[in-house]
Amino acid sequence: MLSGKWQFRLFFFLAATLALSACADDKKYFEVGLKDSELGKPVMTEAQTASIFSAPQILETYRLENLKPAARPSKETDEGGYWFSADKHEQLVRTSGNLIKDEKLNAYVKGIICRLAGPYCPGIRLYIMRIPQLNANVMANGTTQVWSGLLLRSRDEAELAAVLGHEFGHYLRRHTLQSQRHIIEQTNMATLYTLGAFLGGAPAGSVDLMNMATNSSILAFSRNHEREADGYGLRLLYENKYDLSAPSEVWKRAIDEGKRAGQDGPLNPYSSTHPPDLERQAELKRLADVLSPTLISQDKGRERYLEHILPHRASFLEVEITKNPQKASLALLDILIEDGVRLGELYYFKGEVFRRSAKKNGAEEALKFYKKAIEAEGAPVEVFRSMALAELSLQKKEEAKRNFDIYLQKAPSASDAQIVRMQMEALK
Amino acid sequence: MVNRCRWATIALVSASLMGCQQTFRLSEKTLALSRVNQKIAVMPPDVELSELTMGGVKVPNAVWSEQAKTYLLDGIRKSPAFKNLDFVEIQPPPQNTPEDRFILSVQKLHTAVGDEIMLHSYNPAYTLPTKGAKLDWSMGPLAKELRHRTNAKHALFIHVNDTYSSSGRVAYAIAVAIFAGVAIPGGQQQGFASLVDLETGDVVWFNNIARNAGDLRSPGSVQETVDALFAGFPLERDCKSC
Repeated sequence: MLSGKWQFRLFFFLAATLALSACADDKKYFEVGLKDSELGKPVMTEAQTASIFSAPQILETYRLENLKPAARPSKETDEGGYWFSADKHEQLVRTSGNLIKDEKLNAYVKGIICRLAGPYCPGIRLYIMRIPQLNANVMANGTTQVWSGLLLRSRDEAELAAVLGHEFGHYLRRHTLQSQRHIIEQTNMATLYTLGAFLGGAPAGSVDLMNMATNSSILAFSRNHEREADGYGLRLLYENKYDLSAPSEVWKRAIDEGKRAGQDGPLNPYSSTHPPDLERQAELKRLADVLSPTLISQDKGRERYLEHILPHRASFLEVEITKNPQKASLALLDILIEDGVRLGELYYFKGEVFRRSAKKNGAEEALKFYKKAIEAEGAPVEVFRSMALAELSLQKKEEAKRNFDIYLQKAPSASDAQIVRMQMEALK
Repeated sequence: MVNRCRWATIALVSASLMGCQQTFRLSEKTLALSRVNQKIAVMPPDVELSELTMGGVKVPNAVWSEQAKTYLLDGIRKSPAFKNLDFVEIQPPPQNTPEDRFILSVQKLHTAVGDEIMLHSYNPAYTLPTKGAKLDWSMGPLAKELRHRTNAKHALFIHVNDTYSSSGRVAYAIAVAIFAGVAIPGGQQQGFASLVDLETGDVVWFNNIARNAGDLRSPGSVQETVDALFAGFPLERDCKSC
């Protein structure tokens, strides 16, 4: 064994080597390519964000000059590496079976993107995906996904723009890069500390404490990014004269939908990537209330929006009720029914949720909604087929035959017409 | 201290031995076609190289990754095992053209099939009763479409993810090994390659690598990885017609 003196020297030698290599790691990530100063103002903490009170203050904080998306970075940089990864991911997205290719819909959404992102529009590539969740995302290289669940839940163009504006806040402030660098810095520090603690004979619990601190720092950074993106998202709406209440409206309904679906659990504010929904909604409302008086006309774009979304709504709903739990589907449908657009279609889908459920009285419940659908405006012809199927399961053969017949009369060349005819034969 | 070093040595030796087991699988259908004189399409390699920071974060490296693709293809061309085989290298088509989407879809399918083979033929916990370790997997009818487009009888797919320790990670691993006698995981090379019969879609040869060795960052060291990746490659040219 080494003498105490030598052990001491060896320890210092290694500690110094380690610290130097860690710095070399960091230096490489922080000085090659993008300089941190290019990102403008640093990410603000919760307390700093909460201290913004007047409209000029908001406009000064979320300055358009602070928005700097990356041009394609040099391959030698860490950012170049993240773009390489994002490019690979984009290959999966553009060959996805969930991609919605409808040209008119794509052109419409791309138009909103270009209105919001202005000069940065050419760097953004839009992919509308058939995914039943309220979300959109923008990757470092400009790959933008808009999910059908978002198009379905937004009530007007301003609400869609609110979510897109938030995502562009992340993109235009290069949050992927910022957070990756932060994570590397934090985990390097934690690693050094762990070794130091081990060598210094610190109790094992202190390492856990350090890891916890590291994680919570990374998560806090992520939450600050969300707040910042909320702020810049609102600024983009302001700049384009969209209705400023849209972001808080989206949140309000998302929270409501979660509650009705029974999905609201307690959220730990120290271990979340995102700030609590209620807090974000309240903060967005507060900022919008301050800014609103300075904006004379605010555009909701509801008619324009419905004109483009309604032709696709049934196909969006189909994937929602197929993939999401029943309670969640019903929550969504009830909220859409409250909005009151093309009710026949919504009652039909509500009936479908019951008919496809394993509940004993599923078919009976379903029939109630199919009847409501027929009385309302906009029920699809499939409602008659569904009624027939529900009636069949209740042994009401005569009624079933009648509804199959109506279905065939209304949709003689439906893809399943042949099957329906066979089913009718069997009933005779 | 001596005891600690022993454990570190055991850990290191067992890690290096992991690469010595037989990793390739041959389909029963392979026997019939070991000598060929038809074209083999070499798909654009799907390769990603990253650096592992001291704290264990993976940072993808674009330069390494793109170089590695070239080095791998060079390695295949130079490898004596593939001498005389009629390789056609498929170039990545211009982005977002129908050809691009087709090639990407085929590669995506290969990765999906390869992941399943990895799970069900190599992991005893997930072995399927009907297959066992038998190589009995197919890419289905999409393969035939590739045959029409490339005029090749077989296609060779390569999928590799490789990580390398940063200098900070290396220093940390050494310090931990000395003081604590614990092995800190460093860079890892993982991936698989397969040969697919484009007439039937059957995967006729499959091999995987999962090791703490291998370096795709310089042309000099790539041959070793090529040899490891193509262990047990079943084809040679039928020289009656050379």
